[in-house]
Amino acid sequence: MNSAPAIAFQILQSVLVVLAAPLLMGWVNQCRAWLQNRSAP
Amino acid sequence: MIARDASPLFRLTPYVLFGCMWLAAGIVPVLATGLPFAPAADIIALVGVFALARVFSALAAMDIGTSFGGLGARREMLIGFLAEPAMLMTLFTAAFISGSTQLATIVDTLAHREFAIYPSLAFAAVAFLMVLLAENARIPIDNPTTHLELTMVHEAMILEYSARHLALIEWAVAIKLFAYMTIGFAFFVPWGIAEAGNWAALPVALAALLAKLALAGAGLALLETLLAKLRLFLAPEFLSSAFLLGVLGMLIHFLVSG
Repeated sequence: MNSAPAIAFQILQSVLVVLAAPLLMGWVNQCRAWLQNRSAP
Repeated sequence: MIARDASPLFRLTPYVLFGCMWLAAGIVPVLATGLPFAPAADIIALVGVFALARVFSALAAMDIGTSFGGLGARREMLIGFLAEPAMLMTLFTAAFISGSTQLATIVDTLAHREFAIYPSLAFAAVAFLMVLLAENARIPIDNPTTHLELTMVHEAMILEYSARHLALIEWAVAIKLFAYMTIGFAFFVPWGIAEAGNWAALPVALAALLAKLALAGAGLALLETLLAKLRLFLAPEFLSSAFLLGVLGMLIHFLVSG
């Protein structure tokens, strides 16, 4: 389980989570804006 | 800018929140099962990590002694103590099906079983969705964009934060939503997840994760558009319903499995 590829997967997942989480929040806000017919000024 | 009376706890809390959420997201099988962090904690410890973050955020909110901080902390703890048992009941349903409380084992069992519709998991999924909304300060329990004193919960706790501390807290909130969504995927739609070290399965796992996140994000936005925010005093009823659905899911599992 603690082989080099598994550790690489763990690091990849940790980096992905940190980078993708704000994008997910942005995606939710963007979808909500679309659904409510709102846009940036 | 930091309040004059802020203690070191106030400065430390954003880092603790970020660390807890990052740790939780490291435990959850997002892309692959069998990761080195996976044995570090099971579903009970995972709920404990979320609870630790909640305790620190409530303490930091009360630390500087503003009325909004205390108000937000009390409301957060009210929601938290109702949401945690509901969350545990939900996760126990999946744990009973797979015979383990380890997330990786649960995902392995659910992802590689023959396709079957589990009524218990359907109840658990609805309960989990309700807990996700409550724990992540989303409508109908909280409104992440409001600053009305009558309604805000999470925002009231972080009003005194600014600059890098506020950025870290907002980042931690985003990671928490990500972690909750991936826990939901792992339990209720685990298909496409890779095994650790299997590089060939990584592109499929990544594509499946992105597709699930896009759909779940759009679904969350749709829910928040369709639902109105509940009064705070209706939050216990909402979360009691989630707890009840979680318990029903467990009972149905025992009834069906005999």
